[in-house]
Amino acid sequence: MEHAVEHSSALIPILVFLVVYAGITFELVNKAAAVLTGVGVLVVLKVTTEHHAVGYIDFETLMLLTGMMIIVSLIKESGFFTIVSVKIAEITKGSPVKILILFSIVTAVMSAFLDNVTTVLIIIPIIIELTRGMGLDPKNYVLSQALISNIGGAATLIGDPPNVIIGSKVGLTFNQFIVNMTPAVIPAFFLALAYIWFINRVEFKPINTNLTKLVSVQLLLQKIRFEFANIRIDKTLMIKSLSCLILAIMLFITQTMTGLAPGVVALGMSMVLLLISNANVEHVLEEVEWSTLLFFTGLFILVGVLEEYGVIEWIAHNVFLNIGDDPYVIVLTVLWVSGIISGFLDNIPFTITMIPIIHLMLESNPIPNDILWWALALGACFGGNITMIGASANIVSVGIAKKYGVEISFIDFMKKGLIVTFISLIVASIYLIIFLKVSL
Amino acid sequence: MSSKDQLILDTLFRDIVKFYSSSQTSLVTLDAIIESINDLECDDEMFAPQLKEVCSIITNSQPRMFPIDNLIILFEKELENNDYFKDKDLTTKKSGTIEIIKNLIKRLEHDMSELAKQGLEHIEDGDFIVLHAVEEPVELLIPEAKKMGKEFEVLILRQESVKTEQVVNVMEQNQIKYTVIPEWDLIHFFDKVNKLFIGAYAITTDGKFVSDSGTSNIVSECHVHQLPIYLFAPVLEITPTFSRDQNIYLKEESETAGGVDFTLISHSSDIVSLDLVDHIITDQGEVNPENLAEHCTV
Repeated sequence: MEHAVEHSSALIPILVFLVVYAGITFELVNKAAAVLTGVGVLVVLKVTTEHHAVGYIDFETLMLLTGMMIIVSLIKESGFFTIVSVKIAEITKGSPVKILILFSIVTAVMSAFLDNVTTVLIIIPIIIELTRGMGLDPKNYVLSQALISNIGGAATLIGDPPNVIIGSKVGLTFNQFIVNMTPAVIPAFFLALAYIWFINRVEFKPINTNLTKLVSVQLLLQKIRFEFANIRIDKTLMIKSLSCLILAIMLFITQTMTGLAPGVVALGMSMVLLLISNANVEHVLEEVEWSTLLFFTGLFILVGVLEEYGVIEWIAHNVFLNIGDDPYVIVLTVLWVSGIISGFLDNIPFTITMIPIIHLMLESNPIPNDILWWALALGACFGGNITMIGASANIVSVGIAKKYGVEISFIDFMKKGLIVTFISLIVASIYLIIFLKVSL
Repeated sequence: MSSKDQLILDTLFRDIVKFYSSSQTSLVTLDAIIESINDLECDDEMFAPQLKEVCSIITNSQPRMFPIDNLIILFEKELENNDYFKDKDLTTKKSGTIEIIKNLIKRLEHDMSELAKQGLEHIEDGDFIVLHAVEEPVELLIPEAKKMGKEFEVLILRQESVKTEQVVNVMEQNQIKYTVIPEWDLIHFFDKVNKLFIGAYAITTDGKFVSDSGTSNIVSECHVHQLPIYLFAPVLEITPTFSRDQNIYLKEESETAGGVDFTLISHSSDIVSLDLVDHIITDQGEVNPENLAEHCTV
């Protein structure tokens, strides 16, 4: 067999990987615990050594995530997000359409420059408070923000974990992501928004013809102002943390000139912020999602071992390289397979698994302008919208909604998520076909 | 009138009055009506019915809330005097209506300021005053007394967290010395405190007053221990209606404790006899409970 796996002992890492994957997908165990247990099993069974395992970790990704988590936690502590949320609520004046559009724009932009989970953690409580207080059903608004956060997050290198991984492991820059992803993200955002509005158009009727509703909204805004604005606002910390975020983004943009990798920039700026803000470091470090970082660490090792044993190469040759050499077919296959699989499995392990496969595919069929990477990124990010387990932001949104007494079932989510994903993937397909046509 | 709209507004009133006094809630509501009239887009002939609906919802709130209830009655009277600006275009109708509301706001602000002045006479250096919710004494009196240089201390009886936090915030902002205790701990402080200050949602002509939940217990305990009790309220809170007509809201919630499910029943406000109160201080000075009807403004 030409591309056989290295030897029969590859069965152990494959088995471990599948068990871990199942545990993560069906949420049987904590994600970080699952992958690190998997790594532990591989080391104990001498499939790999601990020294070898460390070599598979992509520290660039971990640095970028850690740095951004620290910066975001300090911005959050300054009260900036509270001010933004209350201001938007005031601007909407309770108009259902304005709530949908303005919050969606803010969610999309925040998701592009912060992580999606932080975005929904900030936006969902206030949108529930606002819509419920007006007697509207918050469910559609919660769903829309979760879906939009995944679309918006696709726009930048730092917006969504699959992009962070692709950017770090492949060496694609912040600017390359913006330039190559936004042409698909912007129309996907507007079409998704139009679809959400269309199917719920009766609920989005204007309220400015009803004085009672207008009075209720004004009183509700007063209540929201009090509840949310009662949080301590630290102007000095706000200025410092926002300055560091802006500076980090500037350094991402000028990466080709400075030669500084995004991971170095993010971690560096977060350390500068910790020093200049006199923040309680212990408290800030508690805000860092260590379980997510450990999850990434373990996954890098698991996939690295599979790569070492030739499993990835075998999948690439027997699954993806069997689809022929038509670049259009290859690109669209990567996009749709990534989209569909990311909807049902966690898109983070999927992306980490796909990176070496795409490398092998590119060796056989060089496709210009990194189009195959953009197909993977768009598929993984947009596909996360199919089900509530497709992306972390979905799980968190549904969780917060439940805490506020808003029940969203798996089917409720999928009914809207499936169509939104389909629309987004169609947009991405058209974009990639045009891009490929121009590039070839 | 939609029962859903009524429920929404009732819930909002009950929430807002947790962090504002009923007087301040009334001001906020009048401002909300002005903003809403400005934003309203409707046919000329629909303006009056819409105003009537809002008035009806406010005066039927659970619980009834004063002074806004009385102010809305005055508002409707004024609208009737102007025949709801019949035959005028929408812009004129809106501006005329807003003008009436602005006058009511001025009146309430004046009454609140007068109430603060009247109340100042009852705060002396060395006082240790008991407070328990965000009512008129907390919002108006205590900060004003501090500004005038009076040296006193307050004992805050802990209630729902949102209420207590707001009372603490007011004390912090005005640099007033305070101590927070659980409501049930008051028994240990009767040798130290010398006054109880409370506010009301309404004073009814059958000799009762409607107030924040928990007031009845505190007032009763203070009365037993002969602690002087001061009730501060603008005369606009005096209603010709009876205490049984105050739409006290009854809430039933499912709770779990120690693995056992049960239903928790609570009421939005307390009804307390004025017989337990030693001094009723209004913007027009101290009033005798027997002459309440004379001070009723509607």
